[in-house]
Amino acid sequence: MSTTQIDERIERFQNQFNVVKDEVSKVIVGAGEIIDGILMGVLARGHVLLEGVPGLGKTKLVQTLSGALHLKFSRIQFTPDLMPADITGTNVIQEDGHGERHLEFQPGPIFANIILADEINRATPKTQSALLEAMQEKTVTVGKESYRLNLPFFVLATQNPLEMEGTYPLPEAQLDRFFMKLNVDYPTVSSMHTILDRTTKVREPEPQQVLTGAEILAMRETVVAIPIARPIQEYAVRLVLATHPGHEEAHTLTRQYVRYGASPRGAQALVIGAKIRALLDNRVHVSTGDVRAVAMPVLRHRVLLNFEGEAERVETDSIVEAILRDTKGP
Amino acid sequence: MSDRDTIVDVLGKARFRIVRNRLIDRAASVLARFVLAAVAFELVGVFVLLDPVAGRVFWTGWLAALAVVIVRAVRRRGDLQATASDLDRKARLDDEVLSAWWFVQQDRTTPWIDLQVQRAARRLRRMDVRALYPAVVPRSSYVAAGGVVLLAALSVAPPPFTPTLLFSTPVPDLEALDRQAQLDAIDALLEQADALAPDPAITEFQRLIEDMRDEDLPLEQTADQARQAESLLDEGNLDIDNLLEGLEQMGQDLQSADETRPAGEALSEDDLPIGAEEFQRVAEELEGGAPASEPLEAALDTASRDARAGLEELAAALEAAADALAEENAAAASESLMDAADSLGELSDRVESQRLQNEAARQMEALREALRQQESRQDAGEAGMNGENAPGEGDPGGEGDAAAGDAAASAPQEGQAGMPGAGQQPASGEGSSQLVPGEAPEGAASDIPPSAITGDLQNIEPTGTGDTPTGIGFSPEQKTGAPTSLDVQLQLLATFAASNPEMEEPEQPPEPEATRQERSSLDYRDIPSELTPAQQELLSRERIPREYQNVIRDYFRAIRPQPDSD
Repeated sequence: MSTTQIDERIERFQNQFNVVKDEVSKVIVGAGEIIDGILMGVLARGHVLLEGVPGLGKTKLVQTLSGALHLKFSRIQFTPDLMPADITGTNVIQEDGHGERHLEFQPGPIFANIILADEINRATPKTQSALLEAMQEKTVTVGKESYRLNLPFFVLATQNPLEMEGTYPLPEAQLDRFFMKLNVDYPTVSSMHTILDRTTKVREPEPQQVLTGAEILAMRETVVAIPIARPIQEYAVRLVLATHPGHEEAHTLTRQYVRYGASPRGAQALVIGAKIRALLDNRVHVSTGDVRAVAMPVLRHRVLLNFEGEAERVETDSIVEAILRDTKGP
Repeated sequence: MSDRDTIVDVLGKARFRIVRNRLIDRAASVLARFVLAAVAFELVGVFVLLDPVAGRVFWTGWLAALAVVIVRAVRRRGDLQATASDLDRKARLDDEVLSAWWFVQQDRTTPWIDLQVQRAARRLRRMDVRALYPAVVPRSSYVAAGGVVLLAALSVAPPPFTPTLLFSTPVPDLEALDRQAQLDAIDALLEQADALAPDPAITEFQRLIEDMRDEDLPLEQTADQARQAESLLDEGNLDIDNLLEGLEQMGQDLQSADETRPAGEALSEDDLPIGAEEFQRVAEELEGGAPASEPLEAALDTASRDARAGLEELAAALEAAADALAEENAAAASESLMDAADSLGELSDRVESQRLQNEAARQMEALREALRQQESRQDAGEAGMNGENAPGEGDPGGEGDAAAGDAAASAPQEGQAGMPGAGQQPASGEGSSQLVPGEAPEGAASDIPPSAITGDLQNIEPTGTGDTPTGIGFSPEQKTGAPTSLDVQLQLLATFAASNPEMEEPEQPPEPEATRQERSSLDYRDIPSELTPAQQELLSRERIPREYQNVIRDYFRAIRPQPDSD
């Protein structure tokens, strides 16, 4: 591959990214960073967790994104009585034309490319865990049979803050499987006006499908092709190690308030996210700035507080901020 | 140049500039601190008498530390990766150069890496490293420059700020000071001077030198003798200066005639031997029958009238020559001019003799200065010894040390048998004295047992409880001097009288004449002066300062009786 071809590839990547973003922005107002984050998660083969109070358009955002992609979309509304089989599917008895009965697998809603796990923390941890295998191995096992999911596959989950009524914390293992956790905040005044203008008309804007699954897979290939220099990678590693309370490079706040830090998946997410940012900035090298930019959404849900941290209501964001502030670059 | 070479080359240049700027910054910063320390040291030297050796030690250490700092800064060059990182930060390149440099180092090649390196090299080619790393004059350098200016100002400022320790004349190595050799050299100069023009002052000077050869002679006395010797020779300078000025005036008069113009020029330039030769030449020409001109007669006559003291013989010869020419007696005129030439020769010897004497005086002054410094060092050493034995040292507030202190202060005195040594007596002697009521003799104080006055002082409770001079240094008590034995005697009587109110006041014993040591048990040189060291040094100079020499010379010339002008 020549440098010219690489340049073309990067340009194509940026165009496709921006096309999708523009398409989503037709419907979703004032959530540029959230859209970027979700698209980065899609391109990083990851899953994204959106957290925010009800009514901020989390579900709408995911629905719009799925509308912009030529992908199969399914929505799972998580409720306290939702069962794992309601997600994965189950074997049911079928009778054929000869009157013989046999078990036949009925795929659940997880068999799609984009899964909207709406209000995921309203289901019990047992049901939430039904997503674990699918999110990591991209397979679903029912009985003795494993079923491969179609690629690309990614889960966009929304959740309400834990303080809200009827919510369950996500299991740590599942949290770690999310590439990013994005906090959805209230829109600004001008964004609010735009939202009202768009949603109180006779016809709301509809997104067009602008990106296929194959194109998404190609974009993923581009992302992982970017080389990252060791000093930059070392910086990412040091950031992750700073979240480990037992490590010598642990931050002071980490030692005091953190029970578990980010796993190697966190480091992977940092590097992949940084690579995507570099590409979007028309660069073929990754910078520490890229790593820093993605560090907060990548690490905030991977830092698990200890009792003291919980008791003092320490925000994991403040710990990550402190780590970013005090960890020196190369 | 390949992309990789470009990256390495630019990084090398950037590193050079980074190191250079860091070195300048570091050196300026360190220099500023050191210069300020030096200024402080010099200022301390103005108010506190510091040994110039301390100054040399300070400056040597100063330079060594500065060199160490600079060498360390130079050796900390930093690697190219750090340079790349710094370059990225400066040019806001988002770690582009750092990444490219790392891959260049790894020698890995993929299309993506090549593209990275290519982009980084392209950017570096367009980059002006000089503009990115300009030579910056750090702020601390201004501080350093200010400090240097202040230091220089301290060095040239008028007293009391001069001389500073930096520019002070180094103390001669007193151990190596060969006094005898210097005296020999001075004596040789005086021998030469005496051979040219014998002078009683030279003889007297040589006698003083012989006295100074005695190694056992106290330094103070030796320095005094040297000073006397210098003043003896200085007197001759005044005559010589006057004499040369008179010759210059005569030379100008003689230049009005063609025959004597060379002689006149020589005299104006103080070149007396040439002047003598020229007079001889004119005399020979006249003797050979050369016609004498009228201006020659006038020039000789005028010159003879302008003669000053010391030039009478020359003036008489010139006047005789002028008279002979007026009488058209060429032979007599020639003879008179030959006399004038002889007179000039003698004057020449006298001037040369005085020059040699001046050189001898200069060497004597140097020797005296060395002796003075040696003496002050000895005094300082003695003062340090006294300070260690100072009363009350180590326990300024302790009761009972008062007597110890007093005793210590007078301990070195001789002939005071029974005086306790320092710290030997109890802190508080009970039964304040052996002169208890009833035992004390009435009447004359001479009846008081001598032991009660001197020998048994250890039993007397000191009145000063802990208020005695304290420690090393100069307390007010030290300025007035420690109590002498007379003070103690009076104090004893006062104590005795206070404890015996019915006792009549004894007649005051005749005050014995204080010994030389008792007059002041404290060396006056230990008393701190209000003057700064620079002022003290100025006052201690015996020689007239150079800038005032002309004024004083003019004064004495003005009051000198002038020869009759008629």
